[in-house]
Amino acid sequence: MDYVSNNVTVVKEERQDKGAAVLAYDMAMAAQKNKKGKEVKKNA
Amino acid sequence: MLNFDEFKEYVQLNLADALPPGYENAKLTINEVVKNNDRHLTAITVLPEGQNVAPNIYLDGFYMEYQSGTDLDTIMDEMADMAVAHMNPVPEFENIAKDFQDFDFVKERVIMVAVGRERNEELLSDVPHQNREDLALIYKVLVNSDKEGIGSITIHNNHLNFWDVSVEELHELAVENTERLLPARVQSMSEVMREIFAKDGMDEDMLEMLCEERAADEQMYVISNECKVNGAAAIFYEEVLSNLADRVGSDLFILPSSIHECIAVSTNTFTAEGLAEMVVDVNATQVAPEERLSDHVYHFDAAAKTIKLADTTVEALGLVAADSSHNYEATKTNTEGNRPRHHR
Repeated sequence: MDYVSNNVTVVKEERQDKGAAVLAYDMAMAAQKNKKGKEVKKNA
Repeated sequence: MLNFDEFKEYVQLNLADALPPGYENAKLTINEVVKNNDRHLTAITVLPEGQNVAPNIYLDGFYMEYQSGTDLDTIMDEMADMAVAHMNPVPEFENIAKDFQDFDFVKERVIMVAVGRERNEELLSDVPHQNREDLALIYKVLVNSDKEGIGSITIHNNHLNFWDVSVEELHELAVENTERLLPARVQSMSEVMREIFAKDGMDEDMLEMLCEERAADEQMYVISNECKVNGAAAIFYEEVLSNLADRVGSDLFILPSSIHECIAVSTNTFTAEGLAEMVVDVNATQVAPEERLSDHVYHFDAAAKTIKLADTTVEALGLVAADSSHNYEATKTNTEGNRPRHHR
């Protein structure tokens, strides 16, 4: 909840649990590494 | 169906009737707040007689509820309940309007926060800031920090005039304070996953199996602060990226995961273009619009200690300004001997 006092606004920001975005990056990076690995094998 | 302007008017005229006895003389005021990424929100403050701090209740969510079919009486009751539940703020807020005028109070608490320049044109026209590639460091006064998060006030241009302080002076104070008040936290992805899964109750054996520590240059690192709120600015703390680059043994690519944290990986393992696609995709699917930082990837040069935009998509970005060659570890600007002057 934000608060206002004489035109001064105090913004309350809650602790974030960024699990979803961080896990999405982890998965995307794993997929990219896999793809790269397959390409290397294919070209070998 | 009321349009949003009519809804605002209705709330201002009728919310008092939904408040419990004792709030008959509460002052109700509509105001607009610009949040990160130029998101405009409309709120109503409910200031009871004899008090000087009022909860700011945002109407946008309630209007969506109304559009979904909830009747106005129910919405007025929900709003009144919310106002009453938040009528007693934490003690730090009680004299905040007076404290905020005193630069001796402010100078111990001013912090820097990283936001994206592309999506914050309006905000940046009204707040002091320093540009860093396509990001900007804006300044806030940290009023309160607890297990729930932080309470802060954004500093606007008119406040600088009032305090008679320059942006450079403010920046210097913010660099010192932010590292002290919101210390950096760098975690490997394995540690982060361990934390997430342990919170969900996963047993130790399973954690060991899933969260196996990888080689340093194969790891992804999450950079934030201890609070995990507005932690993306931690990439501008002195030594954070240098220490990580030493640990990894290479330069780093930095991914702007959100305003709350960045992700770093070794430049040996990925390409900037591949990572940029990833950032665009994750931003679009996993990050709330108000928490997005940037769609671009940065390169940290460990030898030069600089951060620069890395992906080729930035060629189309008009924001890459002449000031883009900052040494990012030297976040302290050269204002030695230029401490804040007289303060009212």
